[in-house]
Amino acid sequence: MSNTSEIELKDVWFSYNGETVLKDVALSVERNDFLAVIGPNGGGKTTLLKLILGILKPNKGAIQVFGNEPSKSVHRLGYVPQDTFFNREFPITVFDAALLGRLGHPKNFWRYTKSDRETALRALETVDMAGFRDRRIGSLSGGQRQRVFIARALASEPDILLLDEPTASIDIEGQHKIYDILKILNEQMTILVVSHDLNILLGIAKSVVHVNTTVYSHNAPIVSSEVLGRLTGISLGHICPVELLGEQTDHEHHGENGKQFQ
Amino acid sequence: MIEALHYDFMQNALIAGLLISLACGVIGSLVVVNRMVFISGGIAHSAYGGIGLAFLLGIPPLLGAGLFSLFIALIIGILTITNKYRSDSIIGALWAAGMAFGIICIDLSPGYGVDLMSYLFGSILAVPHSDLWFAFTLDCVIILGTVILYKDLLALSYDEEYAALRGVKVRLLYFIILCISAITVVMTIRVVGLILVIALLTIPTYISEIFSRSLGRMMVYSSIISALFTCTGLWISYAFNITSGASIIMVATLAFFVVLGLNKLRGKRRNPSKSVESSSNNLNA
Repeated sequence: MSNTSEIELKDVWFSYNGETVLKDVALSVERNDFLAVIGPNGGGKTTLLKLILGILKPNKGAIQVFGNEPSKSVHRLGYVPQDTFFNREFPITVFDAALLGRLGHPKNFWRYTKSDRETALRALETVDMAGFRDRRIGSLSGGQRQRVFIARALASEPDILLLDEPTASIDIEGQHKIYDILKILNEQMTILVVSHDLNILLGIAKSVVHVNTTVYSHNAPIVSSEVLGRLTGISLGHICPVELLGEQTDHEHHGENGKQFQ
Repeated sequence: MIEALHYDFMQNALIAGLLISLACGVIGSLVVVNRMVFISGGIAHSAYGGIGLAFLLGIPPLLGAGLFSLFIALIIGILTITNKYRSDSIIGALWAAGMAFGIICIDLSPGYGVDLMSYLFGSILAVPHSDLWFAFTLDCVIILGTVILYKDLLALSYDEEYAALRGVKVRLLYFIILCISAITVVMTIRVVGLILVIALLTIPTYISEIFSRSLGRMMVYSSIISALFTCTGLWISYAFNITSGASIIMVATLAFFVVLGLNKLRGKRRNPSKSVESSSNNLNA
């Protein structure tokens, strides 16, 4: 384990209802990395995230976060779950939702403290949602709601931010706001994002892993056409992936990183 | 109404109604936002088993119902904790089993002429002093517990997985909600009867949810609305000499449909394209 590695998975296996979801996974995430996790639906991306968070436990293998088991380091992780939210009509304001990130701090036994409130408000300012603090969460657009969830994760003052499909089913404008936020945040913290979003993969990510039961790692932006070929389950529309990537891929995927896929 | 308050039983009924409204508003809010309405329905109906058992054993019926519904709540909790949203058939079975058990117990009980109607539709006009103290204690426990556990309850209700991640003891809290709602349900049986408990737990909550910006406000508004329904229902019951439980629920349901209609109209006026928009959003998702 190198000194700068914050997340380390070795020989990790996970199965659910007798079906192997992840097998023999090895992964290492360095400090200040921006790691994109790609792969087909049902390939185990979200499972990988939940294993790192300690929500799920591996059947076999070792997971270390900051040199400890996940449950001991979870307070240093900020989690932005996938927005498959059934609870949209829930009576909660933007500010109260962001405050949930302050849960579990030893100083606030039964009430949030003043500093909790300040931290939550700062987190909302970071994602440019402070002006919506008194709005009900159900009245927001998908992109705005996603920013509130990022603020909730930031309110826990994490060292690593883990996001699950943060730009899925959000309009283009909303997506760009999130790219900008993530870019700025990456200057201070490690980011791990499950995403099919080509703008994240090609424009922001520093490295990419492909998860489909097994995990392949390589550095971005060297996304080979083979890798894109593995992105089953996402629609690229009428755009030809090779054309989109242009010369960049043509030149570089013959290098070392490209070889592991042949 | 004023002259009616000269009667002791009417004063007791009013106090009982107000005390139970408070419990219903707070617990009803938790039950609704946690999607536990069906669970509380199951607890309410299987409480009948406890009433039957109490007659058989010769103990106070509401004590029997209370202990029995706590027992059912624990069973439901154990069976549903791993899969909260797919447990309706188990609850449905317990719902029926509890009622059947109650009827068999009453069949086996010595003597005759148990007034079952009062448990099915409530008997607020016959509330004894001891029940008022019990309701008062229950209110105190509920308010104190909700204030202390508020942020954890909110986190659990809004996003259970995230709450667990941040160290909230979600399982313990889930069991606490189940048990306290079981006791509230039994108290509410006094006012409107076990068949109508669900209405008093959910209708005020539904109305207040429309204009509440937080779970806390929803609890307060629900309690107030519930108290209004109970008082109006009691007054109608007195003025027209009809069953109090039924008239309370009729008031509540009428208000419910009026609010539902007004809310639909308001939504249409404010944003005529909203329904189209939301259906296209569903397609995108």
